[in-house]
Amino acid sequence: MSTAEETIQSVLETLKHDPSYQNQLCHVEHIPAREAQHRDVLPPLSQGLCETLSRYGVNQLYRHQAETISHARAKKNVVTVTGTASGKTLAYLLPILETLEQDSGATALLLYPTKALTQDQLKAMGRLLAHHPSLSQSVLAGSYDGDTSGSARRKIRDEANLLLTNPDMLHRGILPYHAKWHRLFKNLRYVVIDEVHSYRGIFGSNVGQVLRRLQRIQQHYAPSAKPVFLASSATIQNPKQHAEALVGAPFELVDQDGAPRGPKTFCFWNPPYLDRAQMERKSGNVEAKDILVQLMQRGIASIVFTKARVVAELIYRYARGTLLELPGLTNTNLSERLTPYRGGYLPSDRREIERRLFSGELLGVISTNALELGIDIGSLDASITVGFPGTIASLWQQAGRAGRTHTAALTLFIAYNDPIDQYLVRHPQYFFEQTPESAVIDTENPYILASHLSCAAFELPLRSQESELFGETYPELIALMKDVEDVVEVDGKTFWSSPEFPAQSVSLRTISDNTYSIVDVDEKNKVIGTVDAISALELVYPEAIYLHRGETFFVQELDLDKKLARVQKIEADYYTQPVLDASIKENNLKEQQASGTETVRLIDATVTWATTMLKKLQFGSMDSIGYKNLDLPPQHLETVALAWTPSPKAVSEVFPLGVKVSDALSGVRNLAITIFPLLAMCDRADVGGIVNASNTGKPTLYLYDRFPGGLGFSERAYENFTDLLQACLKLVSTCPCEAGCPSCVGLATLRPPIHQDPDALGGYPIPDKHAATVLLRGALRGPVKSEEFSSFASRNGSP
Amino acid sequence: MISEDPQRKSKLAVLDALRNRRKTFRKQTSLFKKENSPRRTEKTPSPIHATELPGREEKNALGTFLRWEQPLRLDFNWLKDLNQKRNELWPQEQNALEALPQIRASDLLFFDLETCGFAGTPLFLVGCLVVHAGEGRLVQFLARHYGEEAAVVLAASDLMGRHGLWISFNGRSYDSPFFADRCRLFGLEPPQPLGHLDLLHASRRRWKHDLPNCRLGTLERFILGLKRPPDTPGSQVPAHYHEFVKKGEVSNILSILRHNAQDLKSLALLMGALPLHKQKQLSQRMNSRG
Ligand SMILES: [Zn+2]
Repeated sequence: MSTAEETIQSVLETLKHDPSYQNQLCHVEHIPAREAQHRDVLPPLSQGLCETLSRYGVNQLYRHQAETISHARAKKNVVTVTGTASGKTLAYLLPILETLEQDSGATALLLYPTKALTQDQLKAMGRLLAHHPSLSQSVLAGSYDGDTSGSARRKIRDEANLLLTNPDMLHRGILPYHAKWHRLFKNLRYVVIDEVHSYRGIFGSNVGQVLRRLQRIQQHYAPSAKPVFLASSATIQNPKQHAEALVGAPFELVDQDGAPRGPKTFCFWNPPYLDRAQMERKSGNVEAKDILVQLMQRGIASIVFTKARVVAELIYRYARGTLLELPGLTNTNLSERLTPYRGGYLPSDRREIERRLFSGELLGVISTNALELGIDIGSLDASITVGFPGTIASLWQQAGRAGRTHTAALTLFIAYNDPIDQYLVRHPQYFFEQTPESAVIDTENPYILASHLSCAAFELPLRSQESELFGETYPELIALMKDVEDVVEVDGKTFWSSPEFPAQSVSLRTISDNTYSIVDVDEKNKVIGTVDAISALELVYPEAIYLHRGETFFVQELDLDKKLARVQKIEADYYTQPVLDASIKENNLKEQQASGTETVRLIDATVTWATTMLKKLQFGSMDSIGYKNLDLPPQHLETVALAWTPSPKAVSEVFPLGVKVSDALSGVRNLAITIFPLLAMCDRADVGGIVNASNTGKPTLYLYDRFPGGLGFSERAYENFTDLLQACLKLVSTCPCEAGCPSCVGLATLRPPIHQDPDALGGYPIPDKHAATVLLRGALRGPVKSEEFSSFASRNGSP
Repeated sequence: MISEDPQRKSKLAVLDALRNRRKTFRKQTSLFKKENSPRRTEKTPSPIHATELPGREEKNALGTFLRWEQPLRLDFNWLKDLNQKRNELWPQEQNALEALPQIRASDLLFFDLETCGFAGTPLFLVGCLVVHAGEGRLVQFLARHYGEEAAVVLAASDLMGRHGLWISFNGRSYDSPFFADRCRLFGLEPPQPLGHLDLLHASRRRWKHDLPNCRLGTLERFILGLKRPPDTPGSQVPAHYHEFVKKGEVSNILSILRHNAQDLKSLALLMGALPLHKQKQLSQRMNSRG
């Protein structure tokens, strides 16, 4: 047993022998170590590259790196699926550098989902390139995004060989101005798509179109060339199929990770009950803090993942307090080696934290999923995830942050007292046996496609043969664009014919890129952080306590016009939580149809939510010490929804069970949200579901598109409503659980608003499985025909 | 999801059309089941409205376009002064002329583009003013629709490439890079002049403290003493061109052609009115004009 393993075992022993220990450790899974698998590339890399690698500290390539290089040399697109710190950057960089050694004018475009990751990878490339005798002189790598200065932009445009950017910038800042980038496109040999699994749902469907636009522009400047796509992905169910859908071309799959990995101990931890009645459990946040402090005291580098920004701040505050109270100078020093990390910090602050993590100055970090993506923060020994992050893939990725090449690592999942988390700790095998989720995109979604065809027409006239690139609805969409006079056809080509700049009207993400600044009034209105427009009303509402790097700031004013929150540092012993009110209003009936006894409607709807109150909670105890009403403008989402009010006949079958109809319908809602994305080819986060009776007087299920104006998801559910109900029934009646689980009626992604502390909230109960089944049977009249479901499942992949 | 957020809802008309016509659209394409559907095959006519436009159609390797050439009586005597007094010019101007030890009338090319707006949009008119056998000649290349832009760029690029000194108004930062982008788009190497004098910069150096601004209209009024009737505002030019292509609305295009010609003429006059040495003479001029 190695020392690291001993340390981890001894930490677990100490935790178990603590007088307060009450069997929190409910499951321990040992994941054995993995040996390195090396492979040579044939023919070997050039002398120059071999020397570069050995100076960089790499003497042998891993199997997945060698395989990726071989495919790239054969001009085949390849997606490489490997864990964190397995050398994936090297895998896609080596083929590019090999090409650059032969052709110094060649270019490569590298896409990253976030600016932070772009900067991180740029630095990594710089470190490698610095060791190459000639390429260090001749190759220019540069990032191009919203933060790039004017003078740097020109140089990068005119000279860079490696252009690092994000899909949003490619969409708005590069493709529409392609003539300025003619050198890049004319010489484009590689397109790297890092973290390809993050391009799913609405975002992924949009990125798929951006990549099609990229390919037609590349073809315009170099019709005889074809760049090779190199993608990397975290573990998902369908990496090859996903990359192929995204790019619209075949891919090779490399998924044998050859990097060595030390053994891992994966523990499920359930905080103890506080009372004999076994109603309340100890706070998951405090439990996480206690374990983090223990780990840090033993010098174990650790990361804690939280579900909300406020939780990252809370755990940091608690841990810092504990470390400072402990006797001895070392513990004081330890408090300085701990930091929170989350979205909303200034980019410079984030870069500084990343640097300190990478260098080993920091021993502990408490982060939101902002650190889940591949930013290189060096190796950590332990990871703690507080609360189920919503997907199996996400929890595995967070766990992957802990673990070095040869030493043992520890991962802890700490459950909140909420039904989904409690289900997981009661049935740990459920997690270890599940395959990670699929990434789903739909590159034929007519709304998304129409938006991008407008952008494409602006960039270069569209030709009829481009159906091949844009799919079979292409001719109809072009006809529609002509009807609204956005385009005009001349001599067989379709030209953009409007003063509008279409890319400005098309956003790739559902999240607003509109940000508010948070300024400190005592420091001459210095900006200390930012928050997106949607979150501002849930995070920096008037009189809120805004937590920033563990400090408490009182929000004096939220200026909606200037997009400013004015805050002042105070010493508070409480934090605040917004109380949100969500509702849905039916506006306009678009269509309705009957299926047996049931009627389903397609409507225009407004989903509204508002922060109506703030709640003050004492730090630590979470005791409520007051409320205050707030008068803030509500936020609206105008969208399209499916509405189903179960018929009296269907409802009558639920009555004898003694379960409320709304509870049965909530179970159906959760099932539908699991099935709906398969039907509508979107991500779970792209759709929403509400059960309420405020419009119709009867419990009604609404499924809506989380996108202004709708993107056709509810439409498809409406058109295939019977399919949808049958698939729900099949799912719930074949689920082996007893009374409901996250795979059926207990939806794991149905979460409280993102800025709330799940610890203080408790989550949603798992609805009654039997009642949901009975309601579905009633609505469908009779048992489901199994062949109908299997044909549906084979079309869409089983749930 | 704040409703006021302009980023939130796309303003593209095609999306509204798609929403409104979802039912018919669905019948044709059946998004979920993907049945084959009959396709529209209506033919749109090429929008060439040559009959009512001046000039004549020409053809080159990249297609057809309209060329309109007119003589223009102008005085080019300032050229002699320019050659003699170049040492008294501002350093930036001396640099611009460095590659032209002796400027001949045949080197001169005044140019002005009319485009569909910001970078990335098409251009549709290149106006050039050159001196031929001692006489000014105004040459305008017009794309009667987007498909003719390539031929316009090629034809204009030929003419521009044959002249060593370009004179423009804000051309160094706008027209010249814009034109180079369009050349590259059509696979042409952009022409390069030996020198490029930008009269916006030259005017600013001389008069920025004396005039409310250095827009061409202001210079025409105070420096050249011209009064121009109000014509198409610049911001409306792209919309007028799109209307012209789609509906054949000729009157606005005629007005843009005239406007472009007048701009070029003003540039030539302004060049003649430019004090060649760093001396303030404006106040006297302004006083004398009342
Ligand atoms: Zn279940």
